[in-house]
Amino acid sequence: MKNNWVNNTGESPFRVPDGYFEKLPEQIMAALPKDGCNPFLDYVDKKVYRPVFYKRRRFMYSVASVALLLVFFSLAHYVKDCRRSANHDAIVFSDEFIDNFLEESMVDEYLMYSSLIDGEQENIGSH
Amino acid sequence: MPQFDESAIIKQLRSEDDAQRRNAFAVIVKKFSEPLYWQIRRIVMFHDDANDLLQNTFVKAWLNLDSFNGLSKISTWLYRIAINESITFVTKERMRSMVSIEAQEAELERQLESDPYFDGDKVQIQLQKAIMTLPVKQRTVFNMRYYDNMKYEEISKILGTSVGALKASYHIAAKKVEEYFDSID
Repeated sequence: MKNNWVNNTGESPFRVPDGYFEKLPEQIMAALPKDGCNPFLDYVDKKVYRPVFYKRRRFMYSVASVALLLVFFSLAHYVKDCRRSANHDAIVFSDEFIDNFLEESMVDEYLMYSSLIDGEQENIGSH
Repeated sequence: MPQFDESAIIKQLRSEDDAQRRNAFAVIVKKFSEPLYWQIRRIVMFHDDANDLLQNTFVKAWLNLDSFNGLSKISTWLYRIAINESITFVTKERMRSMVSIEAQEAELERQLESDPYFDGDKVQIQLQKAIMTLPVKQRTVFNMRYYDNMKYEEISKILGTSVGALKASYHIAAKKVEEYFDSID
């Protein structure tokens, strides 16, 4: 087999399907992108659908940020008010209400003061 | 076939009229599709791969018409694209298959024997196996000289390599092929 390859110079062992080269130019031309334009550039040139606010997105982001801050501060203020209101409601009992409560519950002044001092609950029970 | 007037074709390719550009390109496709196919086929060896790479070559050429400056011949420009495509393909294929060179040779022999578009005898199969063992650039140079009998000056323009380096490359490739045949005798 030695040196046989030298004698085969130029003879190609490769074949193609029948009629391949006759149809080939047409197939290649059909596979080309239209108008010779680079598809990437073509994509840029096309009018791409954008939402209405897309062009003003920076302005919209700013408005959204301010709105978010306002909501945050409003919420913080509301929570603070609620707490203050809750504290205020706790000491808003009228004297008349307290007198009636004491009368009906038969709690004398000593018991009442004792109940307001920590650790006196047990003493109240023993009296 | 009408004579291929390169300067007229280049002028049409630069036209702003799309239809005119397309017509000029069709002339180029008609003239060069077959020689480019064979060039690619000898590097990648199988018809389906060669067909795909040829399509890619012309699509790339069409999309990069603006980059063709006319300093080189159209054929040189197209050959360069085709060979780059083929070399990239073979390199990727080699990287993808993590098997030994012996296993690749066995697989190639099996594929060539069952390939309906390969009509070679035992010597031709062994020659293709020997060519496959060459580095892909060396394989390209060897094919251009051995099958196409291309001049070194022409190969130099296509591959962008000096004539001296090409001569050395072909010499080394031919020696390796010879050694391959010696080893199986």
